[in-house]
Amino acid sequence: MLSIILLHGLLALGILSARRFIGRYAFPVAVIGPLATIGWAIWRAPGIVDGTPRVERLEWVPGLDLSVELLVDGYALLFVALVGVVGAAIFFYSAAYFRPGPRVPLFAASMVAFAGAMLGIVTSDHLLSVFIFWELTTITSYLLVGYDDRSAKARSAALHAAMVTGAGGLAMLGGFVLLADAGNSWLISDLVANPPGGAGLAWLLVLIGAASKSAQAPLHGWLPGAMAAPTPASAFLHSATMVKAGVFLVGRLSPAATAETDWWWPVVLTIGVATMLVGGWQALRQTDLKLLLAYGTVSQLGFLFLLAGSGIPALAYGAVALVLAHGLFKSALFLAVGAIDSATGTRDIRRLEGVGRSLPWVFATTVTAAASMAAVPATFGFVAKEAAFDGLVGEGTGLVAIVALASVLTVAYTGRFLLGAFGPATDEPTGVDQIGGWKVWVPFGLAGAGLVLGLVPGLVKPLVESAAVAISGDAAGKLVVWPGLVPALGWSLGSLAVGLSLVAVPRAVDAVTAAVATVTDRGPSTEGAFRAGLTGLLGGADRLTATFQSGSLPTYLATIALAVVAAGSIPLLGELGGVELPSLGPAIEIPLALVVSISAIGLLLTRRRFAAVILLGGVGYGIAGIYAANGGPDLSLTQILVETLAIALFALVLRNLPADFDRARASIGRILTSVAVAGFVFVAGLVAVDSRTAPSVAEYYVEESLPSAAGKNVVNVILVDFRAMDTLGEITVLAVATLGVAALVLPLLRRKQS
Amino acid sequence: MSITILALASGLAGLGTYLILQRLLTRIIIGLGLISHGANLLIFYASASTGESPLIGGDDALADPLPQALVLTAIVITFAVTALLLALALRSYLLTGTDAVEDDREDRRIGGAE
Repeated sequence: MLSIILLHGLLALGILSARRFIGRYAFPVAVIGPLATIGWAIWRAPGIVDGTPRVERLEWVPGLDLSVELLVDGYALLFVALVGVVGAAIFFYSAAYFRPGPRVPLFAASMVAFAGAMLGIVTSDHLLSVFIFWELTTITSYLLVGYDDRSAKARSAALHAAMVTGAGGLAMLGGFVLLADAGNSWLISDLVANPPGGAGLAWLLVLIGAASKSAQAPLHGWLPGAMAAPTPASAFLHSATMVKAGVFLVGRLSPAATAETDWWWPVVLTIGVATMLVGGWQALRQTDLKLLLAYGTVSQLGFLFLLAGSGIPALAYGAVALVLAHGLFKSALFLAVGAIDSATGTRDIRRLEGVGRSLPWVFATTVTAAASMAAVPATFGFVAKEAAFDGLVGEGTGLVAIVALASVLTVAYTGRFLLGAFGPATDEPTGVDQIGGWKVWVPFGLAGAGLVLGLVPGLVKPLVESAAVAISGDAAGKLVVWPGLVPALGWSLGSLAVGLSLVAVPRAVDAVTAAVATVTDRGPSTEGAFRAGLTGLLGGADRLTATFQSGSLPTYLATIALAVVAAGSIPLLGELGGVELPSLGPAIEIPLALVVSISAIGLLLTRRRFAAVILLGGVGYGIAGIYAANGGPDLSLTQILVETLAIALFALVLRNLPADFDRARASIGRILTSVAVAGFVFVAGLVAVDSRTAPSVAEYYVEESLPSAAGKNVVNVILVDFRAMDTLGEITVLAVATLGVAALVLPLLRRKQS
Repeated sequence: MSITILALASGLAGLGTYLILQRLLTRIIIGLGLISHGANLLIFYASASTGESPLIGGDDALADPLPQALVLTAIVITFAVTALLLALALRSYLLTGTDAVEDDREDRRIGGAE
């Protein structure tokens, strides 16, 4: 599997680097990836379905315990097969859909990179590689939604999708880290086998990430916007595969999550039901065929999320079957809409007319796939939904009733979709061009597959069962063409009948949705909330920048000083408890300290530059005295020498400057900052002096000074022998400074003289 | 080591901070000098070692020579920095007629104030 994933990466890079001359061959090259995936799946399927997962392991950084761990069990194999089959279909379709152009290879490369990343998500056993592949799909989704980069709408939709799923991904990463920490393993298989206790926050964060990726309410707003992507991308990413990543993940983790938390199932149930109803309801209001499908996808994702996230074997079985069914019929419908769009130039149900007469095969495709979506008997959609209903019946009537209500909405928007696409136009109708080739036959094939599986579900039964066993340990369901007279059949046929009766009265439905919309549209929309959040974020960043980026040096320095004090105080104050105040030193220190303090305070008050120089000298000489009084004769000597030199330098420079300082106003902020710094230094000193944990390395220097370096003055020996390279660096600094001074001043002085 | 030294270190750091938060380069340089003195005293104080000058030969305990070597280096480097800053102040005065640091207009523009 690893080689297949790498193959996708190589194909993407190859197409990118050959984009100037690959022309119309971009998609034929790209399709190698999905075809290889299908080949691999067929090759490995017998062993995996028999219950032997395929494990691949590649050491990456053994020292850090980082490795690529792939584990393909039945559950992963189902998604691998879906990515391969739908991916191959869509690449063939794309080859016909796009007119060759300079940007088409970029699209093909992004799509094939996405397919590889998606395979990575479903086959990785290591949480970190799941995250990396997860974010790769976010990035490729961003590129694909924003493919039409001259459209502001497409760019903003791409940003919306990337921000929501990216933020969700970060939350998920946090959850992964907590989970791995609690369970002491990065491997999903370990964590599912031995679920860590007490990791409630981790589960919540992972759930947020999964919900954002699978467009669950209230984070679903990005998915309809993502329809700005070219139709093949929408069919692949935003219905068949990427949005199922969240479903995939909750399906994997829900048995462990429900075992360790008592809130997981109620929360997943609430999210799923809300998403189902919101998506179905919104789909009933759309006039754009693609948006209608997008909201339909939101609704279906809610259903899948609920089933997969339940951790209940019977529901997991239904989830697995529905993932397959939904992938087939929804991608067929999207591609059919793309075909209709390219034949008529519109997707507006008010303007489409006569499409069925002119394009009979597209009509047949759409009706077949739509029948699967509405779960009409003899389609795979029906078989899968029947399996799901069968499981739901065991979980209580209330739950089935809610799902049946969502199913009614599904049937109703399916009817709206078909009537809109093929029924009479209410607005000025468009003409229909003839189209043919892949654009017609690829969706036909996908829809046909749904029909064949609906009649012979046994073809995928081993796959579905091994997938269900892989996550829930049990194949607690059945795939049958006709379930017999069971309660589940009643629910599913009942919702079909009610839905069809709604289809029969489209005007009444429109009136009701419009009436409700006048109320609901007054509330905040998800798109509006996202915009407001984004504007708030950018505005906040602007205000923050304007506050700190004032251009004033004193403000910058004060900010730095206060930040240091604030950050440093937190650990320091904790240490202050056991600190004792040191004693007063030798008596000679008192007059010296007085000299230093009086000179320093004088520096603050004086307005004469020369007085300042003298006072600075006072500070320096006073400190030299303090060094001398505390066993530092070398320090004292150096201080005196340097101070003298500095005074001379100051005098030379200030000779050229006015004699007085400008009057500077005292400011409260400045005083407070200074007091804070002074206090910080005092506390730091008190704590530091008490914090020695090891003897000073100086003991070694003192011992070795005479024998090794033949010097009695240990400070000098350290500087010129033990640490001579440091001193070389110091001298270099001096030399550079000298050069700098010369370069800065000499030309000016020369000009002044001449 | 005595509290006098720590008090001096903290006082010099505070006064130096007050000075560098102004606009005249001369004052800023003096402030920087005071902060450096304060930092040197703090290192000296934090060594927490009292004793005779670190010269081999006596019988008494020696003061820790390592902080002294560090401070010695710091004194010299501070001098180099001071010299460079003084040259900047002089250049600024000779070219613009003042040694005050004006607001950075580019920064203000980025911040949106202009």
